[in-house]
Amino acid sequence: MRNKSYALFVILLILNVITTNAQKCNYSLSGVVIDSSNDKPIVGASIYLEGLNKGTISDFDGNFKIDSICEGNYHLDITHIGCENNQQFIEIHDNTKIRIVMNHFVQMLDGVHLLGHKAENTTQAAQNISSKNIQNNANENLSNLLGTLTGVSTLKNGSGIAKPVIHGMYGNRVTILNNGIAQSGQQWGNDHSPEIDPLIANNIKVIKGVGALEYQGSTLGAVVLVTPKDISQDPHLHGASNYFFQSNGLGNGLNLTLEKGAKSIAWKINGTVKKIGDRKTANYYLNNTGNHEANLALQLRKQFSENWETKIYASTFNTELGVLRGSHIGNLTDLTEALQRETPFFTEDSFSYNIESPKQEVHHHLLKLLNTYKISDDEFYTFTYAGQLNIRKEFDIRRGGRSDIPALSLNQMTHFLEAKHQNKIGDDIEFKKGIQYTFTNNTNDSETGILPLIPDYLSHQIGAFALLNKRINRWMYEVGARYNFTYQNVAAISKTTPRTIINYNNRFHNVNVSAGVRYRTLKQLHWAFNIGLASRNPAINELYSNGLHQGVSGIEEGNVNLKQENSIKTTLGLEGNVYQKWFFETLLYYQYIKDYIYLNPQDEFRLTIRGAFPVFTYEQTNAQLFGLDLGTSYAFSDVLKMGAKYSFLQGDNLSENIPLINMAANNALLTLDYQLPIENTFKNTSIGIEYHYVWKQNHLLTSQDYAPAPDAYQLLGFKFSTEKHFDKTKWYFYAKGNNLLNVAYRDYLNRLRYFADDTGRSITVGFRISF
Amino acid sequence: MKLKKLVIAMLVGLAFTSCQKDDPIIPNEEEVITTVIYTLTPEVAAEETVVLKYYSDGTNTNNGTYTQTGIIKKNTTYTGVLKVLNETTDPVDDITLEIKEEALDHQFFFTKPQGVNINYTDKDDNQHPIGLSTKFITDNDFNGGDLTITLRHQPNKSGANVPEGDITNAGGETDVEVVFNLNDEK
Repeated sequence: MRNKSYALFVILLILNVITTNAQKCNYSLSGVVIDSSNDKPIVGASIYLEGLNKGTISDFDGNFKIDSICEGNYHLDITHIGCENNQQFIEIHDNTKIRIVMNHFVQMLDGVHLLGHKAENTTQAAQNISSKNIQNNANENLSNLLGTLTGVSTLKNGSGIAKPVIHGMYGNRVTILNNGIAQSGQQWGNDHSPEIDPLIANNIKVIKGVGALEYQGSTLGAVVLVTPKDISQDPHLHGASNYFFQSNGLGNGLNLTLEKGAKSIAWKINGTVKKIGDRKTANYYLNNTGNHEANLALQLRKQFSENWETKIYASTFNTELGVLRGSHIGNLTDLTEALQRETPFFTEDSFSYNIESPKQEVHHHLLKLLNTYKISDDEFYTFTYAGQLNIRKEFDIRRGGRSDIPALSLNQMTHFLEAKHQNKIGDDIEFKKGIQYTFTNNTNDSETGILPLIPDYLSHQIGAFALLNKRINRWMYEVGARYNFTYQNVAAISKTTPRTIINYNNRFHNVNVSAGVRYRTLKQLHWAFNIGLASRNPAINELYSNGLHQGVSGIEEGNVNLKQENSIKTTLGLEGNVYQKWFFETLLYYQYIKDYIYLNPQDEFRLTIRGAFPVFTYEQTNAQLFGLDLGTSYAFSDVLKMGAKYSFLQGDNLSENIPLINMAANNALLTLDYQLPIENTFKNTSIGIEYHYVWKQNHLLTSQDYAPAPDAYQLLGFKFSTEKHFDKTKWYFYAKGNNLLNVAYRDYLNRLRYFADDTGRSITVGFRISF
Repeated sequence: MKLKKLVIAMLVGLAFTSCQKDDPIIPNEEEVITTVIYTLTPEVAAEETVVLKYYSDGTNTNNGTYTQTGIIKKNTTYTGVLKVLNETTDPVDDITLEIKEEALDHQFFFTKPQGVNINYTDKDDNQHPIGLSTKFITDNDFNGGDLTITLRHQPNKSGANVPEGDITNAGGETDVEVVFNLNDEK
């Protein structure tokens, strides 16, 4: 399979070379290169015409000119130290003048744009992970990538299984959108990773506030948008191949992309294979912690007329994830024993790629159909259908040769329909509205021979939203509202014997409203304030889950009497810079949740035949979460930058006056980046070091956990990246090191901390070619 | 054309739609253990046979019940036989057979009260004990107390002191953990 893809890649590469046409050759291309942040000209930017081997450098006023160009189509490649590469496709039929706008690479620290990108005109807090960052971290899963953002942390079950926590919210309270479609799977599980391949994405964004209301889902927290890059308009075949090797776990991965824009039909295909074996802590192997992954995505775009365009997106995600053998335990006694051990049970001295039980096997398939009907440049309709199939099987160590039979086997089918309309009222009001319908059908496979943890159900959800934003001089206002009606029909198996089927019908009405305002004090200083009210109905697992959760050594019981949660959240942000040298941003947030649903440990242990187990019941309380995200960077010069980030978060159970569990510990990151001034031979060559400090989670009572929160820890890392541009191809190389000092540490949000240390030193090298 | 597509998409969506979830198939819970019976037969036939029994309905929704028939005497040697059952099925499933079959992956451990000594009298293919058959010996210090019986699945049967019945280095998952309060007359 891999060899075939390579062969195809090479053939296509050769075919691509045979494309030139020569006619009149006395045209010129001229223009100006501008800095996006201050509209000032960029001096010394390199402008290069691919295929002609012709190039020039912008002068003191940012101007450039290339003469004697033949009529035809060209690829233009613009680079400048400290700036994102800019690639353009141009058709030359005459003397042509263009304006090139360049963005600074690390305007701020990567991913710290609390108030959204400047061009976006929004009051909401948005954070981005750029495509460069995604590609230079090809070995990471989606959650770990998100974890690099301020205010985002990851709830883990080993290094392969992770889910994002945003401002203390996770699971049912965070919606993840894959290409605009709410990811539908078993989101409730703390050990269930989102089934999305980040390498298909060009941009990963976290949004909070008004903009989040556009998406159907239980958006009490934030929305994560994973957006694949649109197929370019360029009519030539382009592609890229990205390979990485990771020393910890001897991981290998390969990603291939091919795309071709065309007036008739444009297409793009993207595939990833990954194989990572047992990870290693500073001192020992974490046996059975590998993961294997194979994903494929296909995009098609067809322009049927001036105003009607159809896009099809199909993707399949398939993974097998090992769970540390030593973390699979029977009861509380086993856990107590495991907690006292230096190294986990079943630790072996050898590395393996094999994945045995306990493990997870997950498949996720998505088909999306998007129609855009354009009425004018400012007004258009979109119609979307999306179907998803999520298949999850979890395997435990079982008696009687049953380890090959999943202990949990769930299929979830989702159908989604949406119609949206967007237009402009007058010059300065943007109005967006839409209706959505989601049908979910969740079924347990009885092959397990175990009573399901969550019952079979189906649900219908109908929603409508409207968003409005208006700009007046230095002010920007935004308001939005959403209404959702949810119907759940549940067919549960009784907890007691003899087993019978119990049916439940639930109807919920949820209303979310949000408003924001943004004010520009000076050109370089922005304030933004946002306030939102949201309600979320209890999810199926919170209402009906029932069973022994071996992962957490507890009996988890749903509560059929739960009501909706109601939340109010406010954010206040400030972003600005001083002379384009010192950038800073802060985000303060406060969230109050009435009837916050959480798992409350009960006072008494249940004495089962397997021993004593704590009982956890879903209950409601009033809770508050508040925090602060800080980011700043200082540019000593064009080539040397220093950055710092800090996150503070606290969660409280107000009714009982105790802390909330699973809140990320406060943490800080310091970075130093140096751009090597060798722009003539290699482009964008940078080297950086990172220092990460994580405090101990002290806002926790000892009675709230089996083990005290882990101690504070500090990690050191480095990264290096460079590019070499040839006539038709670009070569990228990157290397990075995590936990360079091979520190043995444990993280509060990693459930494996009960059993083992976190991963030790890891060096990753990656190589990418694009054409 | 565009409308047509939308309508088709809508219909496809609705075709899958219904308002009533089908009844699930109730899984056959063959792995459940409901009952542990420890039968102590005295070597001197004249003495009384003691039966320790733990029973639960296998649902994890309530605590199990402990019963003891007969009284364990001081200075007596008993032959102990353990039986593990799943009584939710009809006929009752004897899990003991499964344990015997996978003897290499199972071992019973006993945490004894004062005045009791328990010796393994059975062995798996690696000559490690299983614990289904035991010698249960009381001495003069015996005065009742808690006896914990633990069944571990996939323990490290050759771990330090594990063959001698010490659970400390055994690892694995607990399949059974029951605590009998011996000779407790409430």
